[in-house]
This record gives sequence, structure tokens and C-alpha cells, in this order.
Amino acid sequence: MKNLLMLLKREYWENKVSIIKVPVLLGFTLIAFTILSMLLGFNQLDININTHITPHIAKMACTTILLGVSTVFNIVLLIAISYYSLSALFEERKDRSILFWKSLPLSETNMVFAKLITALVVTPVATWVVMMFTSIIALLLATISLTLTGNPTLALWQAGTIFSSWGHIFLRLCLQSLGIFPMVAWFMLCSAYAKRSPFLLAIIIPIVLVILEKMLLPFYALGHFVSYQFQHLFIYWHSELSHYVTKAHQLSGPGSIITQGISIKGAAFANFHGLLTSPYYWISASIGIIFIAIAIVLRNTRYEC
Amino acid sequence: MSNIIKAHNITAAYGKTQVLNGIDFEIDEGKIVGLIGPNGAGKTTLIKSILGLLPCKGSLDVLGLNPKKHRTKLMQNVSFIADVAILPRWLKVADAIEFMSNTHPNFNRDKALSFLNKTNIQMTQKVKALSKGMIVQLHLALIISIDAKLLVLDEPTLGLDMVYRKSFYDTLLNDYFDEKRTIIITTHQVEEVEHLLTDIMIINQGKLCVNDSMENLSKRFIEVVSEPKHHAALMALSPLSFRKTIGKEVFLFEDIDANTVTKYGDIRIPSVSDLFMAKVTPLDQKEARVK
Repeated sequence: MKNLLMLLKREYWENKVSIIKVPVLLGFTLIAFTILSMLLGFNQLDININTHITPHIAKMACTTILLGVSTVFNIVLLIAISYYSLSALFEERKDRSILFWKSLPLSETNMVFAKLITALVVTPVATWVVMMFTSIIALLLATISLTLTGNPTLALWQAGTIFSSWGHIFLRLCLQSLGIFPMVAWFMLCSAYAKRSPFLLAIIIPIVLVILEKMLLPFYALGHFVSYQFQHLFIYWHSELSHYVTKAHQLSGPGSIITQGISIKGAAFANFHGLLTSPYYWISASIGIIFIAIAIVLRNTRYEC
Repeated sequence: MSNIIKAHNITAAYGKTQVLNGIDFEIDEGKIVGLIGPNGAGKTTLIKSILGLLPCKGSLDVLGLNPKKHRTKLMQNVSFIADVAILPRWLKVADAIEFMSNTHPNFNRDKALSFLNKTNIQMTQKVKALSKGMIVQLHLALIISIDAKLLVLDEPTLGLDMVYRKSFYDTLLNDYFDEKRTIIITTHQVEEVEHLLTDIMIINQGKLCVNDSMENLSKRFIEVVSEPKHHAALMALSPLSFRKTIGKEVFLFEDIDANTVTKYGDIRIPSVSDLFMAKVTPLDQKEARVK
């Protein structure tokens, strides 16, 4: 356990940029753009809405800001996870530093697990924390905007809404990590196997296999299987965001907002239930486990430096 | 004195190319063994097999363990430096010490810090900010702070200038080596480590052609420095090699009674590099090349 924790720390040292610097930079960029748009008066739409603000609309606005911020973070997070998992087992072979790690009494299983945990737990949690800070600043800026238009200063600061949204986003991230595990495992296997470009290997093999299946076989199982993996990249976030944007435009009545809050949280758990009871997911996850096992075997048996 | 390594009939291949061809040897505790051979002779393959980094056939026992099956456990008592370029470039010196302290049960943090204090390396520096020589110093600080029974050095001073090379081997001998430790060194700069070695193994085309103590080598091999007029007489005694120097000819003999050649010139003990050349380039090959 101590070794695993140290290996996680090692991953953090090596990948500070993708784990923490990229989300922090994204946070700064989002805030900078928001301030710039406020200064240049591009938030006219907000002001129009704000002039009619009620506590229920404020709740909706608060949730939309939090979810909007988290969606942008999530797109960058998915890119960071993909980049990390494609390079995690490749770069140290490329620069030969694998020999240093192999000179230590550390098992390859622990090393691969540390990288998998970094991709599916550490990086999302770090992004979630930075996202929370960014969303607080975004709410502050929205508050300034509201105050300037004569609305109550604390209208947006619905503690219940803020905390439940953060918790809800965290659940979505957990769900996403479970969903993308097979894909991350595939990327890590390519990273452990590739001699030159894990990225090309990770993309070309599925494409070639799917094309061959389409041409040669009477069914299209592999194609559906591959597209199922990609669904996990955006499906939870996209459906949710579009749902909120629609609701924000409708500015529906008080009862519907409360109902909606419950239903969205309920949907998160329903999605967990749906994912974990789906045989399709378990088949994918089993294949992911096999990919990780092969990556560990490759680490133990390949030596090309 | 106990065996650190016992190898019997070791063979290894890359695809269809046979790299090690039935090697047998034993290495005892407290030895400094020089493993030398030309490029492609199988040195690194043998080292990798000892470290459990490559599969090999035959029976190989390192510190009582099968290196391939128990590599993680073996690495608690074995340390190695592959060459100067393998420390991760993103690693900070302080982080390297912290990592080693927390993952290696036999790592002595104070010893590493004490060694680093004698160098110009700063704890906040990253490996990529260090010169080649400083990287080797850092790596050496990490390695000699491990209380290991076996240290394997594969071309550890490759690309370093003479000052760093000398300092490296001085540290190894003065701050690390004792009768409880064993060191295996492969290098092309044989003359620089010759004085350190207790034993030598010369490998050529996947086979060990010399495996003996330095003490025995001086008894088994002699060089005769003679006038050209004795050329035919000395050639008749089947030397391993001969070479010309200014006005003289030098013949290297194996297992010959010194008394039989004393009359032809001065007798001396050959250097390891001359012995190496004689073993990897036999006389008939040299003659064929000359013709």
C-alpha cells in the first residue's frame, strides 16, 4: 500500500501538467474570458434575465453556471486522460528511464495500477477540485453582474444548490470513470505495446477491425461495441447540459425546479444502476481487465531498451 | 565464502539469433568482476538475465532466487546502473531521495544526502538541469546508499570525461565496496577498472572464453617482448597473439612454462586489454586480416 501511494505521488510529479496545471490554466482562462465579456458588455442576455430574477430562477442560474463550468472542464479532462493513458507506459520506455524503475523492488502490477488510478481517479478528482474553485469565482462574477442590475446580492448563493451540484458532478465523474475504463485500459495496452506511436495504434486497430467486420461478416457486433465505448465520453454530460439549457430557457415554475433537482440527482443514481446492471458494460469492463492484465505481462516480459 | 550467482548452461536468443551459448560460471561474495567483451558479444544480455529483465534457458540462481520469477524480491538486494541516461529527466533530486526512502527497504537516506552534500547538486534541481557527470553522481548517490549484496554496473561511465570516471570508481571502491558486497562491471574502458577487479570474465560470441581471478590470470598468461629475429621460434610455440611495437615484437602465451620463453626476451604480465584482444581476435584471424 505504501509503495502504491508513493507510485501515485511519482505519477503526480511526472504528470503535474496534465493533472493540475491544465485545469488551473483552464480555470484562469474561463475567468479571464468572463471578466473580459463583462467589461465589454457582452453579458446583455444575463442582465435581461437578471432583471426578472426570482429565487427559483436564481437556483436555475446557479446550477447552469456550475454545470456549464464543469462541462468545459470535463472536455479538457477527457483529453488529459486520453493523452496520459496513451503515454503512461510508453514515455519511460522511450527515454529508457524504465530501467531505473526496474532497478527498484517495485512490482509491475503496482506500477500499472498506479497509472490506472491516476487516469481514472486522481486526474478527475484534481479537475473536480479546480472546477469547484473556478465555479465559485464564476458565481462571484455573476453576483457582481446581478448586483449592478439591482438584484439581491446573495440571490445566486444557494448553498444547497451549490453543494448538491458539486456532489452531483462528482457522481457524474465517478460514472464517467467507470464508463471509460475499458477505453483507458485499451489506451494503456497500446502504450505498453507500441514501438513508435501508441496513438496511431489505439486508433488504427479498432478502425481496421471495424472496417474488416463490416466488409467480411454478416453482423456488426464489434462496430457497436466500439461505438458503445465512445458513448461514455459525452453521453452523461451532453444529455444533462442540454436538459438544463432547455429548462433555463423555459424558466419554468417553482415546483418544476425542485422536481428537476431531484430528478437529475435521481438520474445520476439511475445511470449508475443502469451502467452496473448492463451486461454490455460488464463485457466491456472484463475486456478492459484483460487489456490491463496483458499490459502488466508486457511490462514483465518485454525489454527492448 | 558463499555464491552470489550460480549459472549453468545459460542460453538466450533474440528471435533466431543465439546470443548466449551455454554459459557456466559462479561468482562469490566479495568479488569485483569485470565482464568484458566486444560489441554484440552477449554482455548486456547476460547482465539482463542476471537482473531478471530477460528470459534465459538453463539454471540461473542469484542470491538464492530465480531472477525472472522473483525480480521484485531480488531487487531488494541487487542494485544496478544501466548507463548514464536512465534517470527520468523530470525527477527532482529531493523527490528521488523521498521516493527511494519510501520504496526501498535497504535505502539509507542519510548516506545519500551526505554523498550529495559533497557535490554541486542542489536538492531542488531536476535531472534535466544536471550535466551528464552530475546525473551519474546523483545515480551513484542513490545506488551506493542501498545496502545491496550485488551491484551491477553496465557501462556506468559511458560518455563521461576522465575526471568524473575516476571519481566514480574511487567512490565505488572507497565508499561502497566491502567484503560482503559483490560488484559486476561491464565496460569498454578496461584499463580504467583493471586495478579494481578481483576477477575477470571475457565473453565472445555468446561464450565465456576467460573466467578467472586476476591472480590466476597473471600465472596463466605471459607476454614475451622479443627481437624480430626470434619471430619464427616464438610462433612455433603457438602464442595466442603477437603484435609489433617499435623495434620489438610482443607474443602473448597461455599456460606456458615461462622458462621455455625466457631466452627469447623479457617476460611480463599482459594487461587485461591485451588479453582481451588476444582472446577475441585469435592469431589466425589476425593473420588472415593481414594477408
